[in-house]
Amino acid sequence: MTSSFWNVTQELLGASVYTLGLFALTIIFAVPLGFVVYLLATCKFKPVSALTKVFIWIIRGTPLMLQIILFVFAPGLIFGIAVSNRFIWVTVAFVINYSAYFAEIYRGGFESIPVGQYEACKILGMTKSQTFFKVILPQVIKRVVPPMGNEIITLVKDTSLANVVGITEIIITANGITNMTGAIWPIFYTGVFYLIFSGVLTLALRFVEKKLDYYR
Amino acid sequence: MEILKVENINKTFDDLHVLKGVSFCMNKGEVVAIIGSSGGGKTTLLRCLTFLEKADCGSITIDGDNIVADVEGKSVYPNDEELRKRALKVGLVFQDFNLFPHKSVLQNCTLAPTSVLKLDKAQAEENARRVLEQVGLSDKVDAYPYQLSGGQKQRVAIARALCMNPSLLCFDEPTSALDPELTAEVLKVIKDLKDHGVTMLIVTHEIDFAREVADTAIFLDNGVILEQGNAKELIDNPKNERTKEFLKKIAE
Repeated sequence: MTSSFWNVTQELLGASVYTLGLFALTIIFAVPLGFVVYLLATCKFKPVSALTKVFIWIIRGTPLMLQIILFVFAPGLIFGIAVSNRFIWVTVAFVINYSAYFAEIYRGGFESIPVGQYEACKILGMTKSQTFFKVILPQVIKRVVPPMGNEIITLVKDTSLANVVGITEIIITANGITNMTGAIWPIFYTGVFYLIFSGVLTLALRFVEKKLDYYR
Repeated sequence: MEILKVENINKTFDDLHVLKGVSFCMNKGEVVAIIGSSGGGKTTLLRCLTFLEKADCGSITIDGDNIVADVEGKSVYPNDEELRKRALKVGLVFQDFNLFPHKSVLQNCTLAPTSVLKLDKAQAEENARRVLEQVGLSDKVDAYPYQLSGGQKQRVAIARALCMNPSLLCFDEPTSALDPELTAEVLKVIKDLKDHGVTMLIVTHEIDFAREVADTAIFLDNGVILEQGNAKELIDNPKNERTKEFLKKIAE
């Protein structure tokens, strides 16, 4: 292995697959799962909502790194089965972690809709599902896009935590190159990858916000 | 023809007995103003009549349909789905408009007609444009609520309610959230609706307006109707001591 620019770039691009995959899977599963968590947290049956709130507290109150380690090693420690595919369990940890954060964002979004909107729908004879899909949800989406954007950008950088259990994402790959060749710059070069990725996302999010800017 | 018949409505919030047996009737085309000091139960009464609150006892009949029956001193409501359909006969204009901010003026007026009454889009839009013209907003059909003044918003809210073609249109202090100079345009629209024969029940603080537009005035105080009668007469020559006191305070 050499530390030529082209060589390092190729290696890091290869490792990006894990980073991008982890990112995409987390978004795909945590966005809907967060909504389920939000529904459970606001469930009228008290034990369910209380339990969900404890769950959110634990997930948000402990480091993601710890949760990753737990999900990868707990099956082996508890059931004696070694995890064969660590990437899957790292993804599960990410999905659960981010669903707790998304749930809180959804809660903020729904709670910010004035009760008058529900009453206006009721007086116009709209059903509960019409009220939800035609009036409430579109307004909630507009309100949750900025905070969701923040979380999504954070997620880009959080993916590097997967290296704690040896997933060969970008940073651990760069670190390996450094160890082998003695060149330190590949480590810092990874920052460029993150910047490009979060830059593209920032532009995309700005585009979505602009699209929703037609009303206030 | 009787459009509204309310009998012995009672409503209690926790320990607070807000409505203590309110009864009155309204005929088709009649405009009734409910006046009275804050906390007297005006808004609660209106919310019971528009089914946003459920009365504890008493009955409500709208346009011949006995929607809420009184069975052995308890109000009995139909199930939610039944109530939703039968309550379409009554419309409400809120104090703070409650327009849909993500919908244009036209869409605010067509959303319920298309989704609830199942009108086709073209017909709903035609109706909406006609009603919006009636409230003087033909040039604002494509605007969004945030682009409108308070008076314009309230006129959209009136149009939105009218598009559902209610037998009875209620107003909850329709000008309270407006600057004085914007109040006039809303009151003018309400007056115009009266000329078109719309049956209206208006909770208001605008005594002069009530005197001018309403056929009947009801003075609601501490949860009971203390005085009721011809609006001009009641406001100019109140009989009840409390009514006199209230009107005097308002005039100051």
